[in-house]
Amino acid sequence: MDSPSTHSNQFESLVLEHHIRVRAFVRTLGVEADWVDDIAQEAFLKAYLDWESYDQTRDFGKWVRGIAANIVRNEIRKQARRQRILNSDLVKMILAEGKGDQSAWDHLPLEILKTCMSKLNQLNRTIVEYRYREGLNASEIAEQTERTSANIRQMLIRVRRQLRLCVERQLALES
Amino acid sequence: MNHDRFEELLGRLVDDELTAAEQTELIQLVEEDPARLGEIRNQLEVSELIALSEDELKAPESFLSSLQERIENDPFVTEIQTAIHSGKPIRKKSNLLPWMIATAAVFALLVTSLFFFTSSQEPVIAELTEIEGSFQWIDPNGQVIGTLEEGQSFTSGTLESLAPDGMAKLKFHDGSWIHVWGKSSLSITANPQKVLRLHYGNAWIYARRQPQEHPLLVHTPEADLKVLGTLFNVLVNHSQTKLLVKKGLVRLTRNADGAHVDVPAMHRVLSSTDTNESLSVVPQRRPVVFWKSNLPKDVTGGRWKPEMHALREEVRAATDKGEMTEEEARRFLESRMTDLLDDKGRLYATRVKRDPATKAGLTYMASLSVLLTQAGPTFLAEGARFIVKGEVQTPTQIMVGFCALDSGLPSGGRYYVERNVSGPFELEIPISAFQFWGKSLRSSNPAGKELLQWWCSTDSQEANLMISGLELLAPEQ
Repeated sequence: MDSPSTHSNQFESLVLEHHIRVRAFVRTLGVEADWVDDIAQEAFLKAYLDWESYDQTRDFGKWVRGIAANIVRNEIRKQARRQRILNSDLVKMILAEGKGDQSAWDHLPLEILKTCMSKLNQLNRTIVEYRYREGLNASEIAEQTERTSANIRQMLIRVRRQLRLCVERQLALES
Repeated sequence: MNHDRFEELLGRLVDDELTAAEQTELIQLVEEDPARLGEIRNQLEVSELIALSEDELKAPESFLSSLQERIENDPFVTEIQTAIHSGKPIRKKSNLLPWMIATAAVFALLVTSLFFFTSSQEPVIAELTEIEGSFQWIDPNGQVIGTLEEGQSFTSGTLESLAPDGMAKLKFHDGSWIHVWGKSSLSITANPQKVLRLHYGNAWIYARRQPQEHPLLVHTPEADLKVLGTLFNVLVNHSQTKLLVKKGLVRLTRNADGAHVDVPAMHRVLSSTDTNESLSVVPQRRPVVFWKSNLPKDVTGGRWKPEMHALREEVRAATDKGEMTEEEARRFLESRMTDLLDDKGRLYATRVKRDPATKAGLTYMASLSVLLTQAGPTFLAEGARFIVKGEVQTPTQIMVGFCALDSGLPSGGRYYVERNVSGPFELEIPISAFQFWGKSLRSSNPAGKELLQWWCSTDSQEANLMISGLELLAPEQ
């Protein structure tokens, strides 16, 4: 058996290696942004507690994502008490489809994403910064930029599509 | 057409602003074209990745640090480690703050420098962007401004609510804001460091990232809070300061002994003057959609009368009328003494100044805070209802109301309903029956909002309005 500190260090490395993928996965299940980290941490905590049963030949990330999906399933069962955490019916639909863990990106490329963001035009870049760096909602961004909130949401959808496309192209080039 | 609507709903979903009805509509659109589910996943995934890339509060160090804290505090882990390993995982200190501070400092210094170079007089530091209910402003010279309006600007001073049913929002130039509600008194200065003093009451504070050398400070009678950039609630009632952090990190220092704790996101801590109590940082409970008032601990307005007190008054009245002798009264009270507990009693409405925006004169009001004893936020779900128990001495019309905030958003509002009551009453009031009383909430539907404060009032003094219980019931499944 590993010593506690070895176990701890090994676990810490695994968390750092897999947290992005796990957090993004939890979000794709429809969990509200504010609760993503809470559920992802709970998944890692359960993994830590169940460490002895972890087969180290298996993909650790996939194992934790499975745990996270089960946490989300349990949340939905609590129904009304969790209405604010999850869009329950939508999450059920996503879970039923079973493709939540089939991201096109095995290793989610934050560096590539940053590069792609630097290519955004000034307006789009500003809106992304307001939304994700300053934490403003669409209405507040609309106020700052003298646009409508619907317009801001539409712009953000396009920006996210554009970024996804850019990342995929970069990955294809690199491979 | 469907495509446009899908995109609109998708945008709201990613912003976590989808209502229950919109969710149903979105599901129907996905059923029409299942490929849309893939688009939903893609948008959510990229959104989270951008957040991970851009939001410093989501940095890996912060995530790991919080996880390690949870592991260390997990009772199973503690038990197992004590029993088997006699050790525990090494906790590495987060190095998030230094670089967060550094990047924030440049921007904040630029803003504050620009501001002060363009102003020769005492600078305006905040603007009143929302006000509902009865408030006054006291400037540093003690001058009282009794009529406050949205859009008014202020230098340093104190904002005081005159009744427990008010809400107000102050916004600083850097976008930081403070929402106060209920019976509260808050002083602000910014020279250039923002210093807030919450003398009593409730504040929900959103602080934009502050310069390293000028962190936002919040003083309460029991504790000092040091903030770099975050969203949190502070409640000062009953000689206690309760801090609930939603985002970021807040350092709380207890005034009585200087003990301090760092409170991370989604955690809370309670500080009092009792230094024998440890400062325990505990995770906030997940949101719930029901609430049962905890009397008298939740009381923020009115007069709490323990049962023993009420019984003494009744016995005194009986002896005054000659219905009971002094000796009989003494023996009766002694016989009941052991049955009565301090937490059993009644809440009586007391006199407050009426909201000047609505009716002139005085009203009699009892109020309760939802956050004082709840371990996490309480949301108003579609179909939820209040059960209000109480009594009036003469038939009267009562007003039942509450303050609520949009989920995580800097906008609040008040809701009310009027009912005629006589004698003992038990009212069941669905939240859909409440009317919107404010103008700043984007939606007038209370469903989905976070419940903060509840009150009940009457204009009749003779009615002697008393509240004995209050519950928010979850929707029936």
